[in-house]
Amino acid sequence: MSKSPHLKVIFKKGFTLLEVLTAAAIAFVLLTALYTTFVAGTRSYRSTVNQAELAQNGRIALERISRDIRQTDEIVTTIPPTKDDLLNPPPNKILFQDGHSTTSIRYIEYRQDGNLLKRRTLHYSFSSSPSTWVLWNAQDQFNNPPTEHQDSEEIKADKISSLKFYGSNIVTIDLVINGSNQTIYLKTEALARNI
Amino acid sequence: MKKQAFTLIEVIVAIGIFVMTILGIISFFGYSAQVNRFSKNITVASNLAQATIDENISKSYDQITVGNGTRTRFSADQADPYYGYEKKVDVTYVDQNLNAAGTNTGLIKIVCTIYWFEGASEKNVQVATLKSDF
Repeated sequence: MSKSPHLKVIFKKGFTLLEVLTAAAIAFVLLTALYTTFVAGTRSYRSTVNQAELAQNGRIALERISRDIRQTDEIVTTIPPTKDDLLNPPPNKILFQDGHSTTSIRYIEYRQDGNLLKRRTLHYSFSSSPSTWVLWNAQDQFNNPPTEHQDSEEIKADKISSLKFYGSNIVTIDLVINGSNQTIYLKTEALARNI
Repeated sequence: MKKQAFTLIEVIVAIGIFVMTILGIISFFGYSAQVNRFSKNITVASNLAQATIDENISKSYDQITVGNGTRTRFSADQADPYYGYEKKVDVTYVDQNLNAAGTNTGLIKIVCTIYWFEGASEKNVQVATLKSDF
């Protein structure tokens, strides 16, 4: 009847098994290539963002510390001349007088606390006269040292894996920043111009 | 039906174009990684340049040798993270308009250049300062 010519047309319009398999194989190869590209893109993006964040933390840490050290009048912390003396290892914190403060005697301390860089401002005074800020090594009439008072503490940078201060005359700030299997080594030297 | 199908040549050309597009996109990642490394190295080198400047500022005017310096590595130890960086300090007498002067004018210009290699190409950053004999 009219059924067979219909069927004939349908069969003629179809794909053979070989064609379908070939098309599927090609599609598979192309999709795999696209997926690989996409994964590579994501990975590259993540690694770039991570490295930018590490560099950002390192820059801000060195910038803040060296800016403050350059202005200081006195560095309180004794630091070794070299980095590698095992008997005299470089400290991961430094205390010095705030050279930007012209009115009162203020001190700044930078230190590594875990992965964080913290900046602390403090002052020294005698209990007999708490409003008079004195030098860290001042003595009262009984040769007693002053008491330390913390004014503020702020986190300045993250992802710090090592911080070292050393050098004679000039302070070398040696910094290692680490995160997500990437490491950046940074160091600079700051000369305290007012000492 | 056979007439409507793609020929082998057409399919190969189509796949070839696709592969080239993918390779083109992938090469962006290589370039992006290269730019990224360059920017990281600039950060390291700028801090080393600033360190070299501070070293020279700490000297007195007479202690600084005028003339072109030699390129020296920051560390002789290959394991040191700064082994790949070299510094060079050039010092010239300058007049009050900062032009080079042949004689001791009481004012010197200190130029610190930090060099490093990225593959075969050499990169550098330069920082300069002035020092006067007062």
